[in-house]
Amino acid sequence: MALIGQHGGKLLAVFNTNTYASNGGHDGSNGGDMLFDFYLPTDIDDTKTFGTNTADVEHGFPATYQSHYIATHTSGSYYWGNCWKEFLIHRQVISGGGSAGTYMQIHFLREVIYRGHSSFNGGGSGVGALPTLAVQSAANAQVRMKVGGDYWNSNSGEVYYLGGSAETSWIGNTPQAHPIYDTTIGDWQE
Amino acid sequence: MAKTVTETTINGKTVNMIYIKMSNEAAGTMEGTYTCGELINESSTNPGTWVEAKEGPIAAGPGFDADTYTSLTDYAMKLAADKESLTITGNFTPVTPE
Repeated sequence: MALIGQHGGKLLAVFNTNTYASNGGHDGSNGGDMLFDFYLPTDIDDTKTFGTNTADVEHGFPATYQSHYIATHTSGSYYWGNCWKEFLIHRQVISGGGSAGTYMQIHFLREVIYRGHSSFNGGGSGVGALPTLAVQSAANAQVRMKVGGDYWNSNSGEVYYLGGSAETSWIGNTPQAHPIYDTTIGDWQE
Repeated sequence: MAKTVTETTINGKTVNMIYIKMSNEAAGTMEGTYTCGELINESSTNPGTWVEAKEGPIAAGPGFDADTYTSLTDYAMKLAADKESLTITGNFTPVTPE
């Protein structure tokens, strides 16, 4: 649980399809759809365990089963509009046994969209419902995003990390532990 | 995608298209706003301007016929057209920009 910020949502990535197209990445022959990769910030904590005090319930906690809560914001400036989507990504890093391997699954949670123009993101051009996410590499926590929804050189957007097992600030896990968040077994009450 | 409808007049304005302007979709339900009107001055160099004749609330829930409709939004457009007594004639295809 490395900390990058401790203030909730963090910007993971941005894209602009006009720049992509201008550099030869797209010739407009595939509608507005382009592929764009980003990575979950899992870094070295994939296999870390926590807690040095064996009487503490934190002791032995594995960070190998993860949930990552992300959002995408995409917009178009020709067929104009905005689209916000939220996803929950599960990831498992299993080091031994018959199920050894790294796995990742993407779950769509919500879409909030505004189509200023009738042809923005499913209003008239393309299949709509973009962006979509797909697992590109579970081992590398790599997610492939299909972007589009507007004319092919008029899409841009951001990816936000809203929280989860990798980068969420850990309330109470400070050098001087706060007594309210003391998690030792002896202090647990039901 | 936006649907073409049999042309009619609502609130004194031409209606030949309908689409879902705003929506909030989660857990198999959606609620939002539809708009009906016409797209004017669309060309290969201009996306055109939407002239709204009427907007209204619409919602769609689980259990829609996935064999007939591609998404909740697609189904919601059918419900909105029914609400306004509009007859859907097809999918709207925008002009390819230059």
